[in-house]
Amino acid sequence: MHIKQTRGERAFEVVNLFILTLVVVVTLYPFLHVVFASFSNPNLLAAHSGVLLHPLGFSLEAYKAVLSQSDIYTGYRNTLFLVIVGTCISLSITVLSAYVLSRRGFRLRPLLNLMAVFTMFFSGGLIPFYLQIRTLGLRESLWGLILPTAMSTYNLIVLRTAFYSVPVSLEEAARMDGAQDFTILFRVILPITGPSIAVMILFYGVSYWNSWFYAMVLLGGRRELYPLQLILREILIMSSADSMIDLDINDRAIISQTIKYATIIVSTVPVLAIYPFLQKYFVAGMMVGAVKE
Amino acid sequence: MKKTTRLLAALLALLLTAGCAAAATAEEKTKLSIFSVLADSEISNHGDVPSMQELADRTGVEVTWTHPPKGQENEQFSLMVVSQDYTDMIYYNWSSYAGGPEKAISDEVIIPLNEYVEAYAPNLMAIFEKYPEAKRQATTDDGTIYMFPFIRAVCLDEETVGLNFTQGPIYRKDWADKLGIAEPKTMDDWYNMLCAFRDNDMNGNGDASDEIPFSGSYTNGTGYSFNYFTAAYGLLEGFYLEDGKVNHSILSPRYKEYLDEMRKWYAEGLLDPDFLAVDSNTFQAKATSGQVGSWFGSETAHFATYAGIMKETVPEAELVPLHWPLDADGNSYTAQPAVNMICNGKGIAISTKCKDIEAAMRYLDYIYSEDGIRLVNYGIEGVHYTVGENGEIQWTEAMQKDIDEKGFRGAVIPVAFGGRSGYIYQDTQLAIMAKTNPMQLEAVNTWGEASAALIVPTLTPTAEESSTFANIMSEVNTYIQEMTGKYIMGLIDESEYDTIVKNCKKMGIEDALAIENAAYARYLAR
Amino acid sequence: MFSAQKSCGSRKGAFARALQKEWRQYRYVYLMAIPMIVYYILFCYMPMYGASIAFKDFVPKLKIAGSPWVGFKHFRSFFQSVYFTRLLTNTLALSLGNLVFGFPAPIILAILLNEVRQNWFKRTVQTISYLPHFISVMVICGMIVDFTASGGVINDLLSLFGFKRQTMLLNPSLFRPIYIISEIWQSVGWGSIVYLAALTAVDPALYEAARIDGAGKFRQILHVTLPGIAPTIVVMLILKMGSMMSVGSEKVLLLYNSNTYSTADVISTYVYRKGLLENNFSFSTAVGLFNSVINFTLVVLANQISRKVNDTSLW
Repeated sequence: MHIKQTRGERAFEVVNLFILTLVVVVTLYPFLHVVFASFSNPNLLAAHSGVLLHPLGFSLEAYKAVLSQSDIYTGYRNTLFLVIVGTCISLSITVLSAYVLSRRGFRLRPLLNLMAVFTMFFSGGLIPFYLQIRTLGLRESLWGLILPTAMSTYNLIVLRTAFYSVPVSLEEAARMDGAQDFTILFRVILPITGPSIAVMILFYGVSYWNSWFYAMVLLGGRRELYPLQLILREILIMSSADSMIDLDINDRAIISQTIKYATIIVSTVPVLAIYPFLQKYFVAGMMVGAVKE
Repeated sequence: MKKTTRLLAALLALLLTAGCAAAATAEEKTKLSIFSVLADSEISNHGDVPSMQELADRTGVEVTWTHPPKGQENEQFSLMVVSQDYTDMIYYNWSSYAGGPEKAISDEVIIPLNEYVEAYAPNLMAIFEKYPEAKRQATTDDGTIYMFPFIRAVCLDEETVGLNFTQGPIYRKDWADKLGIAEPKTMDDWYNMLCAFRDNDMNGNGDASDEIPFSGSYTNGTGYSFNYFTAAYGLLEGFYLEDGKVNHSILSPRYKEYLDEMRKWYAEGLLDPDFLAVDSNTFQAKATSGQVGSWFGSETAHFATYAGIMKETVPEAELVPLHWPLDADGNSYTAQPAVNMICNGKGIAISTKCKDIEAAMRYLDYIYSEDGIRLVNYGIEGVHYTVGENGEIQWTEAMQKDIDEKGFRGAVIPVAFGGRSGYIYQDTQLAIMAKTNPMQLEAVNTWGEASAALIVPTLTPTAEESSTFANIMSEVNTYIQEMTGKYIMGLIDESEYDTIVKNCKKMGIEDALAIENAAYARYLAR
Repeated sequence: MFSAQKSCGSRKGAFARALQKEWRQYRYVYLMAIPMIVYYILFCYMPMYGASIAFKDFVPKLKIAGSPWVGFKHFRSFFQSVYFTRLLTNTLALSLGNLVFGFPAPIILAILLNEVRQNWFKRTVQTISYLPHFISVMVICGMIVDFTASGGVINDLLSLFGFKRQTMLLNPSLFRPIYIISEIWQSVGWGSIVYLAALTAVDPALYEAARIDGAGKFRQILHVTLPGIAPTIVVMLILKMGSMMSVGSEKVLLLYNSNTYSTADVISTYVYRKGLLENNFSFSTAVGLFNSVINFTLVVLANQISRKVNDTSLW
């Protein structure tokens, strides 16, 4: 039955649509600006002021310059390694841990729960962390960018909640049929919580794609291991960094604005291309609602 | 393209020195590692530079280079100290090591080299004996040699030291000519000129308000700082020399005069309103598009790079070096840091973890031999340069062509980066050859007339003093930088100045000054 | 460990029997817990041991164990430092600002989205509003720097309304707004997902009932929607509370400069500078530890309160 809208409701709807359209514009414009600028003629761009509604002139020079750098390709390769291998490892350990933490009668559960949550708010700090990574021999290696940060406790909590919300009856039925925990996890729980898993994949994938801080700290001089974001950093900050060398600073190679924008696009497009496909799982996958125990 | 020429050069080098190379490869080369900032963004690894490969062949020491990510040099050095995983050799600015080079030795980061220098480093010894001033600047107060210093050969000699006066004021002479303004000499002249730049439509675009009379950045390290104007008040930002002693700008009443003048300039729109965020990119964009009337600059950047760009963007522009402004007593000082210093605290030291000290010494010392100096400055003889009868260096035809095409930096750095200011050894002839544009020579001549009397040499506080000093100064510097920025922008009241000084004293600036003066006395006594 | 106890099970003590039962029922779960335990011990708890250098004068050559104890020296010098209050104020200002403005924003967005009846429109808004979440900090900061420059888009727009052009990142009084607004810009869409998920669980019959009682939109939202997602809001609030004192250093490091230290320098950036630029390893760790302790206290408090008030808790 469709109830007729009151006047107040109609007004609400109009205002609502207006606000949401505004949200869309404000969110989208910065991206469009970067896209337009990256295709613009550098001189026209430098002289331009105000909102960009289309590329100024049309030039692919910036993209040619970016794609002619071999760094970009090694960066891509390393980042892909991090994203693929890293996401697999992170996902496996998070799924197992979430399963453990969602076992209702499990004696160690409260302890493990605390052990996990505690780390969200308490950490040893960068220098002890660095020393530990060194002791484990994970420095200057891509594994050092995967293993030490493999599990995000926040993701663990999200997934734990999702697992927890799977009806116990399903599990008991499986157990009656003689299923063990691994079977229950793979045959009962994972199929039901598919959307959450999809969200986890996206979470981890994107965070590996975007990671740079630990890469910067842990990789040292191993340029051949630098992920894309670190290459991007050099391109974006090169002009403002002061170096230990007596450089005539203004003498450095100046990177044009368009090249910066093109680099941003090149390093961001893959993420933007993948995420709409996983997007439909977001809402279903983020059921943190029932954290109650 | 660059790669292929580099490859070709390397191949040629190999062929030419085949005999020598064959001998070196026949015996096992010693393998050593070195941590070093990347000398220049033109190269991505020093190992790729032909002259470095040649150096390895000649010394029988093969070096792997570790270059920290750009802008992360100090962080990565700290991490290396934390983890104690030192490379065999370390290039660093040892005067910036928390506690100075002596602390680096007592922390067991690097080793004192005195006994080894006598045994294995005849070339460095020869330089130290011939130029005691070089030794004074490159060692600690008690005479400890701790590094193979970067040496600026032009500063070894009174006659050539002027070549190192590479920074100073620059203005658009065409603008001043248009208004009939003579070269400004005093700060008042400057003020009048800048006002005229502000009030007239200098770039002739019909808008009299888009000119920036004076631009530049505020903080040292990014571009050129307008605090070079302190020289016109007989002082420098931070520590400087006055009456044979070290003083700090914040303790001098003349510093307030300087700040008040800048405050006035800012309020009246003479200074770039963005001065706090101007980095080299934005500055270049502003200057080369013809918006800026004057600034502090350097000969390479502004009379080579900028002038080249502006030939196209602003063909009428005439960039001309100006004399440093006169102070109230009619003296002119340069504010260029360490302008007359042979050594600036940077250099290659040998770490406590070095596998083969003798080999490292041999390798590093070779650089200071005549052949070594040529190798790291000009490349490989016959390939990149030839030597005339009187020892004058000439580029080969191929090299000259490269320089014409890519500019001095783009051509020379990738084959022999030693010429890069700040790295290993910079030869006098190279310093002259680098000035490809006649304006560059005029610039150093103009700026070289100023006195370097305000410059404090690189001092080494004792280990105990230095942690106190570092603690005080890290707070004071942050504070002063922040407050003076606000003061100039008029964000705080003029009466606040006394509070700033009082707070600096509370943070212990006077104790720091005492430490600095003690270190200076020891320096003089070296 | 448990296999040893299992062999004791033959004694048929009640305790042993219970253990045996636990083992039989959960042996695979124990197996599955191993990676997690190893992970947390290796990468989170062992570094916490390393944090003991906060109470020592850490000398690298003596290693952590060999460095001399100095008690609370570094903490004292931090508390006495001229920057102590400023760092605390800045950190709290940024996170409180984020909480006050940033926390309600996704809730409001979710509620607004929930009211949209045109499905295609709803989906489009969602897809676009999630987008910024996936962009790296590096890129975001690059864009912020560019847009807030005196010749940037934001100044172009503001100058139309008569505002004076300025490089906004240099103005200490603008740092907090820039930081918080950009933070909201980046996270509002993504943050709304949790609430949208919770909203799907609200019984539509409740809305019908409210309508029949004559409730307008606002009263429906107030009396049906908000109570429906209250548990989610509380949980998210606790999580936020715990990270009150940990304003991420990455973004601030990329955005601040010496001129904005007065509002932008936060504890984490101070820790970074002291530790990695000034080699004050112990001092830096002490400051970081202080931060962690406060964080932890805050979250425990928040959790306790929420357990009392509405029986929702994080652990």
